[in-house]
This record gives sequence, structure tokens and C-alpha cells, in this order.
Amino acid sequence: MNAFTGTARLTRLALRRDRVQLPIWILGTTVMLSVTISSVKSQFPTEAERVRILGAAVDSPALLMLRTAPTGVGLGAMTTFQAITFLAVLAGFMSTLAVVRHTRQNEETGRAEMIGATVVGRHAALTAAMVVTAVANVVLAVLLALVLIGAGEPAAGSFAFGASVGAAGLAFAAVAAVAPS
Amino acid sequence: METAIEASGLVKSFGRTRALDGLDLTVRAGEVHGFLGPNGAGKSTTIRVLLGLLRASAGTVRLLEGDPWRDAVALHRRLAYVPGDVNLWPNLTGGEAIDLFGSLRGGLDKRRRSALLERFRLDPTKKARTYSKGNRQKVAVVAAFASDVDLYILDEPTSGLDPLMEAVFQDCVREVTKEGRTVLLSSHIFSEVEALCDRVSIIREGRTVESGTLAELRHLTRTAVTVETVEPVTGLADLPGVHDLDQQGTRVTFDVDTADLDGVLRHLTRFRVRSLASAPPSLEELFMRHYGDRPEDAR
Ligand SMILES: Nc1ncnc2c1ncn2[C@@H]1O[C@H](COP(=O)(O)OP(=O)(O)O)[C@@H](O)[C@H]1O
Ligand SMILES: [Mg+2]
Repeated sequence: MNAFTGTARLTRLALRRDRVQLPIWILGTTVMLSVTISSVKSQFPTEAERVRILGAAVDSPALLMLRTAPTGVGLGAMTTFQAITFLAVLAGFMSTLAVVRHTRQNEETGRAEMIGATVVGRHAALTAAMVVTAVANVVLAVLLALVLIGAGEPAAGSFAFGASVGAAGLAFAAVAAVAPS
Repeated sequence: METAIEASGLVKSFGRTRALDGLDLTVRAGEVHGFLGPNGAGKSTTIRVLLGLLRASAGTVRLLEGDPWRDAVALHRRLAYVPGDVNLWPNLTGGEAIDLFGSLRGGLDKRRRSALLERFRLDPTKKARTYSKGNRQKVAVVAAFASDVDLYILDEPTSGLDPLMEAVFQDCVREVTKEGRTVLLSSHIFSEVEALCDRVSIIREGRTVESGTLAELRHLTRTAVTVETVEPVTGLADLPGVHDLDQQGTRVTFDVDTADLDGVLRHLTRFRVRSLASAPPSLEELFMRHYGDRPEDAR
């Protein structure tokens, strides 16, 4: 496993560097979800209002393209319709920036060269960047699920929600990892 | 192990630029080897090949009896690298960066680390974002010399260091070579190379143009001589190796190829030398002859 030598050390370095940035992203995204839940509760308190707003939304293909198809008028379904694509994009930004920070930014500043001259394998730097980004997305997914459970939603659906946002983040990370600079 | 580095016929192209064009380099174990050339000559590219960061498109290269590309991880336990333009992580302190490089390299000598910090007058508690260029260089230099390695690969390591720190750096190089370690020092500071290096390779446009000990290279240079004699000198212009002769009565100035110095001096004594001054040939002059220009301009 020569090519991965040093991955653990570089992962710790990346976590250390991101000890402020990633928590801000994760907490910010989580707060966005709580805000959406309370705004659904306050703006559309009755089922009639929810049916009306969803009806208007379904008539607008442009809006549907940017969101998922609505699945119901419950709090969970409404929140998902309002927030999930937006949160997925936030997770995507967080992940793309993290991967770039720990790969290309090091290459451009010449730090990658100094690291590459130490006892690290050729895949260590990219692996460390992906591990850190994956950890951030898992934490985000769990926190999002906990917020939904806290709002009285069923656990299975809440974790599915969190997992889909985290998966979107990972997909962005994977693209950032292979995209040419 | 007799040779620490043996590269021959290295070729490396970046698109249409041929950065290395058949470069040869031999560094013997235990020596300080100067690696000289103007900017763009291919020094850093050669060093990247030696570090296994780049793969040469042609040629052979051995480093510490290994293949720099294939055996990179194993070889890097035995070498330390200092680039000419050190960039650090802005939110790590200098001390944290030193320890990071130490741990990535497989540990460093704590006592040596604190002694070096003292000698280089580096405050390791400051964040890297507050460091000047010279201080960032010091971080990499301290991290390198605090490591217990066989080979130091230094690519213009003293850029941004003031003369006092340059002197500390030179002491460090002397100390590690006393312990039998090998140093490859790429530099454009002639005084540094003349003070430290046993042997020198001069490269130009990706090729080695001279290689040898400083004494051997000096042999290729000219010595400037001013001499006063009792009787006017005659016949000097006919001697081999004499250039730019200027005679005013009993006072003569000229340049002489260092290889022909002996014959010229024998000739001069016949006219009873009253005084003689000679400027020793410098590496800089040799360099200028190869580039036909001042090195500052050539860079
Ligand atoms: N990554 C690169 N891409 C394109 N050209 C490069 C690259 N690295 C070096 N070169 C070119 O190769 C030549 C040698 O560069 P370099 O090895 O950095 O010289 P030196 O270190 O002696 O100043 C220069 O012409 C430089 O522009
Ligand atoms: Mg260079």
C-alpha cells in the first residue's frame, strides 16, 4: 500500500486546517433546514394553503426543474420540496471547496511539492481530501436527520433525507477530485 | 555507496519547451555539490525528477541506489528537500509546519530542532501568514536540517535570507557534511557555492556545460594580472593564453588563461618583477563566459 503511505497524517492535517470552515458549512446548512421547517409551519399552517402553493408550483415547470416533485402536504414532504435541492447544492459547494482546498490549492502554491518530497504515497493527498470531505458529509447527513426527527418526523425518512443531501455532497466531491484543474 | 546521485541524458519536455535536454549530473556521496545555472536552465526540473515528482521522458537516474520514481516513498525517508519558494499553511504556526514536515518524513531530532530555531532566530509560535519570505524559507531549512537523513536536496534555499542567516545556513551545511551526509545545492549565489561546494555542475538550457571541482573549473577561467617590472616587458603578447594586454612603460595589465599562468609568470621574472597583483578567477567570471553576460541579466 505504498501509494497510500502518509494518508492518515495528511487527513489529520486537512481536518486541522478545516477546523473552522467545515463546521461553519455544516452548521449553516443544518440551520437552513430548521429555518425551512419553521417557515413551512408559519407560512403554510393549513392543508388548504399547502395544496394551493403546491398547485401553483406544479404549474411551473421551471420551478419543478430546480426542485423535486412534491410528494405530499405533510410537514416532511413540504420541507423536502422547499429545501432539499438547496441543501444539496450547499453540500456540493462545501465538498467542492474542501476537495480543491486539499488538492489543487496545494499544487498551485507548491506545498504539494514539499509534501510530495516526504514519505507519502502518490495517492495519499487525494485520499486524505476525500476522507475529510466524506466525514463532513456524513456529519451533515446525521445532523440534518436529527433536526427532522426533532421536528417530529419519522426516523427512516429523516435519515433518508440526510443521506440524500450527503450523497449529493459526495457526488460533487468526486467530480471535483477528477476534474482537470 | 560512492555516488549519491547519478543522472545521465535526462530529457523532459513541457509541451514545446524542452526543460531538460540530455542533462548529466553526478553527485558523490559525502560531498556538497553546487548546481548552477541561470533561471530557466532546468535546475528545478532536474530536482523534481530526482524527487520522483516528475518522470523524465528519457535518460537514466539513480538516487541513493534507488529509482527516484519507483522507490519514491522509501527514498524520501533518507532525504530532505528545501524549495526556493516555500509556501506554508496560513493558519498553522511555523513550529507546527516544522513538526508536520518532520512527522511526514518519519520524525525529527527535537534537540536539533530547538537549536536550529535559536540559530535562525525563528519564532515558531507565530502563524505562517505573518511570516516574511525569509522566515518561510527558515521553516523549511530548519525542518530539513533537523531531520536525520543521508541527502539534502536544496533548491535555491537561501532566497530571502539576510547575510547573517546566510552565514548560519552555511554553517549548517558544513556540519551535516562533517557527519558524512550529501548535499545537492542549487544556487545562483556564487559566494555561497564557492564557500561550500566541493564540486560544481553548471547547466544551461537543460544541458550540463561544465562539471568538476572548483579548482578544475577555475583552471578554465582567466586571472587578471597587473605587474610592474624594472625593465619593460617584451614578447608577452606572443605567449599562449594572454588576452587584453595593456602596456604602459614598465606597467602591464592583462588577463591570462589560468591554465597558462605558470608560463607567463616565468616569462615575467626575466624583466625583474617589482610588484604583482592578480585577481583570482571567480566562479562568476566562468559563469559569465558561458552565458556571455552578467548572471543577473542572464537570469
Ligand atoms: N510545469 C511546467 N510547465 C511548463 N514549463 C515548465 C514547467 N516547469 C518548468 N518549465 C520550463 O522549463 C524550463 C526550466 O525551468 P526550471 O527547471 O524551473 O529552471 P530553473 O530552476 O533552472 O530556473 C523553463 O523554461 C520553464 O519555463
Ligand atoms: Mg528553479
